[in-house]
Amino acid sequence: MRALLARWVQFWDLREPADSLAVLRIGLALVVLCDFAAVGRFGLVAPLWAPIEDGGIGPAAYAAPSCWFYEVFGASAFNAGLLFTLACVATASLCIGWCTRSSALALLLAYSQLAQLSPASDRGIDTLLRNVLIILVFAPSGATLSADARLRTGRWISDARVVAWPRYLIVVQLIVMYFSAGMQKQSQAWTSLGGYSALYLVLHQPHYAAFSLPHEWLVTFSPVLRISTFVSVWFERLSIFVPWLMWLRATRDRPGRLRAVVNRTHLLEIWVALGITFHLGLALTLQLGIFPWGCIALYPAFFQPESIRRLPLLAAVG
Amino acid sequence: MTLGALEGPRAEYARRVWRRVRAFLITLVLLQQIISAWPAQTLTLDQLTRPEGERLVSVLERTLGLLGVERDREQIKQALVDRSLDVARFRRTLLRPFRMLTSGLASDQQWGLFLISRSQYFRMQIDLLRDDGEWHTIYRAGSFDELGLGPMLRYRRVRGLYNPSARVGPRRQYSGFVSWLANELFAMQRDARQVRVQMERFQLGHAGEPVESLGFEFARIRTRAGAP
Repeated sequence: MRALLARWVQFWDLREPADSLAVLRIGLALVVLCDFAAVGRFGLVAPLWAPIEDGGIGPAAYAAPSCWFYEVFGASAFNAGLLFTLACVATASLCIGWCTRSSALALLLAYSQLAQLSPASDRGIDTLLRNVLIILVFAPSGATLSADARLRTGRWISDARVVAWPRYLIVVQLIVMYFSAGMQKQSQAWTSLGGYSALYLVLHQPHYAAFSLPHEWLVTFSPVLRISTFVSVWFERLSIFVPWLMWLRATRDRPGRLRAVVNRTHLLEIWVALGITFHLGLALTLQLGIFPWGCIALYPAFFQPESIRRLPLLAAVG
Repeated sequence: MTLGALEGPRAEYARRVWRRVRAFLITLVLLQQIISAWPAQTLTLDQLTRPEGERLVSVLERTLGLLGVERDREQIKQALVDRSLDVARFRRTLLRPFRMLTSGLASDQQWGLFLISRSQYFRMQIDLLRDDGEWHTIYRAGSFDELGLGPMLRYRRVRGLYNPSARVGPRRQYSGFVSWLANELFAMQRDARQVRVQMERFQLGHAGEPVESLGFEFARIRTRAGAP
């Protein structure tokens, strides 16, 4: 038991280059920035987050501030703008990696206040990104590819080795999301009882479909949509095995027939490729905003930092 | 000065202690993540009478039969509902110490994404009552958009305010959304006296079957201030 505990403690102290975390940080911040840009473009700051008396949709009101930011600074359209500006500045700062942890904390706090001011406009992807931000507050994601690294070492890229646990926790976060979402999809449309018709149904919904395709077209393509539904729901459910696949990959030098077969068949790469395809497919066919891009932004967590370093753009910067 | 930069036996001891504390804290976070992902919603007898519920009950009935335990279907359904209540209660108890932090940071692990409980969907329609006394449709999601409202209305944060669930209807902010939209439209359209926002419910059959309109629901009308 003591040996097991010692290995557990040792595991969470593993070190690696910071490239995966840094790319993830930049991706996450860019996605949030794009979303905030959309809010600005549509002029939605006051409608979404101002109190009702100042043109907001609610639920915040002078008498019911809904979040501590309004309780402390007062509920007003001006303060909604201030909170939104703070969130934008913190996101930009996180993106360039300046005061990285403080920026992550500032964004997390502002983002959660915005969520409380308009719960219905805060979607699953916002919750996911906030969950990851909690990890980034404690993670050295600014150790490389950041203004912090530049200020500290004179170079944008640093070879500093940092703790690997934040990356592992983000992997766990993604697995929890996929597996939980997959297991909750028990309604007929997601099972053989409904002929795996979920995507066929969703593509009919004018509030979600990116293109209003004629019903006849969707009927024609329904076999493809059924296969896609089956693949996507099982992609989510099988995510529970990803940590095991990652462990087999990390210990590929050890003996064992199963380990060798799993590594030779590239199951991990297949799952990750399926995930990226799944999200790109969603981005192409449905109007889900930042959902697919936010998820893809977290995928660097599945990659060893060494493989991230080999990306052409990063190699050029280095 | 970080712990890693210190040297000497006391620093080494402090590092060893910190590694253990950190592993403990991470374990706590992992447990919180996993427990938090258990379904917070409980099963209902209504859910268990749907085909997917009936299938689950059949599987359990057969499994219990193999183990020599005889239970009728109603007993199994009631047991499932009771156990789901127990699990939800247990989950709430375990997560109580974290509640202030998770609610303060709007953090959650409930991932019911695109559950699609029914083969029904909605289409929003916006009409204006103009000075001529007639209702004019200015927006029908996915097919008609006279004023170019589509990109804004389809933006995910705005859709979250009005898109109704086939099972439980519109969200809490729907009414506020209609009031805000009406004010925007009154400012844009000088001859608009009233704004009506409503949702047309559609029933979708199996592939090949036609789509059937079940009529309009959740109609909300707003009148311009001072209009007759």
